[in-house]
Amino acid sequence: MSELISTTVSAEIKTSASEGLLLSHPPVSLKTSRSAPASTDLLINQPLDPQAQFSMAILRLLEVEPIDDGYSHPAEEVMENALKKDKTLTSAWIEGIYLENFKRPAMATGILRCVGRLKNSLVESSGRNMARRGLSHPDVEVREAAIRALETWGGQESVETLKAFIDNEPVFWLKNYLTQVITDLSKWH
Amino acid sequence: MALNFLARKISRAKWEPTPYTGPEGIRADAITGSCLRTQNDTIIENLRGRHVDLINLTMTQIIFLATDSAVKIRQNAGFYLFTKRAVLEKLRTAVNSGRLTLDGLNDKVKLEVLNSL
Repeated sequence: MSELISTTVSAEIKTSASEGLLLSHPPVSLKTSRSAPASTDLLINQPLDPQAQFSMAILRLLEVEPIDDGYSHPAEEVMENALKKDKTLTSAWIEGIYLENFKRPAMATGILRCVGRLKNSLVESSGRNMARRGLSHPDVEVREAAIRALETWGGQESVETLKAFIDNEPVFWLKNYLTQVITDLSKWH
Repeated sequence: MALNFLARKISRAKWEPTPYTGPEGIRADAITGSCLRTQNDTIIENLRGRHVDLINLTMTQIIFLATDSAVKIRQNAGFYLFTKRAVLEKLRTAVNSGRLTLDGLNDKVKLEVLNSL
């Protein structure tokens, strides 16, 4: 998949995302691709399949709007609505987007943070797989997002996953945080 | 008014040096993200008057603030990381003491606090 350079906010996608209409979204115009010169703007007139539409919407939403604590993100809403419609299929799509973008720390972080805010019952093993993989990411922001996801979901499974990882965490403050999370979760469960 | 301290929510990971920033560089999104998002929506009434709006800072001031903050943060000084559990404890204490009403919280947080009471 080529990386998209999004220079404008797509109002259509934002509206669709907030209304949960994504899966029936109309064809989307792609402005530019990094693999092509800017002068040869690519316009796709053919309707994209639902998975491609979903993937494109998630990535665009993550590109145009930062994820802030305390504020829900439109990508999170898109994921939640799609998961409620078809958990198995959507989980696979989200995991696919995550793996495709794993080497782009900002994207991997964004996806993990959104997934981490969803209920454990919605994301289940797929979310936990993503978080587990994120714990070994070379970028500290991705690892932090993975820890926070597991912290939010909680449970003995999170404790075991975090315990197995703690000796590998090289960053001092994150290791301290991780230790505290393990303590908190162990007390809770 | 003398400013003894200023509290802002930051994303700690964004303040880590990266190969492209070099050891002293600062990622732009460390300071342009939630750190500067500002709105006087402080839900504890007696803290509302202490809100400092950062939105009118100039680029020069932002750079000064970021540089000063980065030094401290990277020395692991002057910042605190709160786990979800710790935040819930603080909210619960504030609710129990009457400083905070549950109505001021968003639904997700309200539910979490209610479950912890």
